Amino acid sequence: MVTRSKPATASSGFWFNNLKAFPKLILSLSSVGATMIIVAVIGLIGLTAMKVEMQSSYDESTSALSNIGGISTSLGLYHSALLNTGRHTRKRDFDDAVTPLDELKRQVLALLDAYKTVEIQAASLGDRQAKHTAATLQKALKDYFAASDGAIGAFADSFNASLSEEQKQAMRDLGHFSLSVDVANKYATSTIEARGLMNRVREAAKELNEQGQAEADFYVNILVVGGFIALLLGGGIGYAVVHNMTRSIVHVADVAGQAAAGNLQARARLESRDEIGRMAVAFNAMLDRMTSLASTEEERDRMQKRLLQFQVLVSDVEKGDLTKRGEVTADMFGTFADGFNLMIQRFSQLMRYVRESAERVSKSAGVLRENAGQMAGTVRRQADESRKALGAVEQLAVSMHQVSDIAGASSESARQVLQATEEGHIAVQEAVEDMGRMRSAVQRMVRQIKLLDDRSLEISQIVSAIRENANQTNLLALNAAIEAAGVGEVSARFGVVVDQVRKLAEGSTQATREALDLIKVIQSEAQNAIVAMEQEMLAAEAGAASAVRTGDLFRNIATIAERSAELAHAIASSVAEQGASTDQIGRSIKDFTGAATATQHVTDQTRATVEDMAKLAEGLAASVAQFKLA
Amino acid sequence: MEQRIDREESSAGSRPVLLRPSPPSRFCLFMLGAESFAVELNHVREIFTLESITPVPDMPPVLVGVANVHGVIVPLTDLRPVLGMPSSSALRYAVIMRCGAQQIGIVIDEVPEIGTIEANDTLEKLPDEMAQHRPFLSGLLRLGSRVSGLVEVSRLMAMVDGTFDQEAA
Repeated sequence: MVTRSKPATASSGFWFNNLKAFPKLILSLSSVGATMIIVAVIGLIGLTAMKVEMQSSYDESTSALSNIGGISTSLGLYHSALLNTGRHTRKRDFDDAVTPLDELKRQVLALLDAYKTVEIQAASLGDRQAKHTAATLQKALKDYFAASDGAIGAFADSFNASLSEEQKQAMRDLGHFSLSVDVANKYATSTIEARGLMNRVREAAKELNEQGQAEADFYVNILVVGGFIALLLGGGIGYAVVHNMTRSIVHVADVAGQAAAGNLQARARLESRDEIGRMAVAFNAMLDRMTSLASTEEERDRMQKRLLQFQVLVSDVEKGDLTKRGEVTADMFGTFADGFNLMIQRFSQLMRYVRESAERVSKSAGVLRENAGQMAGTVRRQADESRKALGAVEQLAVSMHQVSDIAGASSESARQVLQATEEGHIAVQEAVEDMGRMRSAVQRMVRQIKLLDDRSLEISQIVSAIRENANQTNLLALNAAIEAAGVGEVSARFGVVVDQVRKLAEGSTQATREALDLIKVIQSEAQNAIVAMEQEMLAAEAGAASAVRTGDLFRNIATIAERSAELAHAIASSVAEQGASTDQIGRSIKDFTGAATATQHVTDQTRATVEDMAKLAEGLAASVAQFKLA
Repeated sequence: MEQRIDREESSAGSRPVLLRPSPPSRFCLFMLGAESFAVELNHVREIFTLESITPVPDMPPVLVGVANVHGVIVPLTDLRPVLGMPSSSALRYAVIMRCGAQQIGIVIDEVPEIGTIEANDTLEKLPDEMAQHRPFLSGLLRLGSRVSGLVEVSRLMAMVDGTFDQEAA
């Protein structure tokens, strides 16, 4: 229909000129109406697409964000609870502390599964080479839970009754070590993954929002431009049709004027077969008959007057005044005027209806544009809300990271204090025992050295006696040698024996002298040893005093350990604050949902308006059909 | 008994004299402080432990008293004042020497030794300053590495008599 209406604007369209006035007008108005319907349909399609997009953006970004936020919160609570388990020394406390861990772990995994279903759709929008995905997060969480299970297992083993105290302590140390190194690392990795994932979802949501906004702007532009084009097209077609028709009427009026002036030879030259064409043919026939029949002057004057009146009427109509009507008389002119009046009436009715339709269409287009603008504003608010929600979630992640840092530091320091206290305790005990042993050893040694001193005194007395004997022997031998010094063989041999005896005695004397010297050295060394032992004893006493001071130091360390427990309490309250922050996220997400619902309402309203426009077009068509019957 | 030792004193005075041990000649060697002295063993009669010294009034300082040796009264000399040594401590032994019918004892601290002349032992002339202060020595006896002043009993007796005469005068 649109394609066929196009030649209507061209002056060369012969078949169009031959149409009657009503079909001509119906054709023109239908083309305008069709253009408007097409514009409306495009707008409707755009709005539906936008609604779908809004829905998907809400589903993907909002629920993904809430899932990740939930994962981060549950993970933080889990880690805090895990750090708490390491501080319990009684089995019942430990079991109470371990119980909530399974529930938290199940929550984390359930949220991760919920997120994965959303992420599959989000992945088609975001870049596929994303660094942080649900898979990497799941892997990090798996590692983290495996490590934490290992630490909990170590703690659980430390309460095994079959183990000795040292083995229990070793298992506890192993658990602490695992918590402070392995689990803390895994926890940091998981937190980084969750944060990265959150950033990625935020980028995707931002992209979706921008896409939706751009689409909304695009469709608003299409609606505005389409409405403008439709109005321009309607105006152009109306102007062309009316101009064509009035030109024919003016031509008939000119011919009527010439006839009225007396020129009965003038004839209207119109080739169209519409009402005006038929009027022109009738007018020409009338002029033919007038030329042949009007013989009398009176009749000619009357006819001239009638023609003049008709000319005035036609010129009025030509000026646009459709209220004028020709006088209906019994003669030929009356019949002619009656046909003319009917035509004018129908024409004016049609024009009025067209005008009203155009007004309503333009009004509808205005409403449509307003709605579209309102929708764009809502979309913008929606984007702002989502950005706020993201900011809150990001803050939550940061605060959780701080909590984990504090908890890690507290756990590490508490563990070090514990270890240092135990080591110090053992060292002090060992020092005290060593000092006791040293004291008794020194006392034994002093006793033995004194005994040795006494013995050496006895030895020196014995040696003195030996020396005296040796001296006497020597003296005897000497005197024997002197006696044997007389001349003679026997005395010389005797002298040799005496010399041997004397030399032996001299050797004994020498040996006893050396023995006495040695004994003197031994005695002085024994004295020195006793002095040294006494100094050692004094040092041992000083050591005992310092051990007592060390005991005081350990009392101080116990106070520090209590303060560390207070620190852990501070961590617990910090986690509670985190819960409040999570509530805020929930509220933000609710606001986001409200904005999305408002968008939906506006979309519905717009659709209703467009439906109204479609009904209007149908009414127009029905009205035109009514005229066709008459 | 000087004939037992070949002394070639006719030659140069300071030249050491090589001693020949034929028949073997022996000496009694004793210490006084750090100084070693030697007496020909044939001149020694006995060495004994001093039980007690009987002091004699108006004796010269070189004599410390008399002792009863097998029924014979023997004067005892302490050479330490002569040698310029302190003489405070009591000495335990006495060497009794004889020269003809006379006997004299020297108090010493330790039991003496007996030395026999070996192949390279020499007798040297006493240096002048030493001869002046120690008139009872007749030479320096070198037995192995040990150098001892050779006590001439007759000179010792002469010295004791001389001091006794001086005292008497």
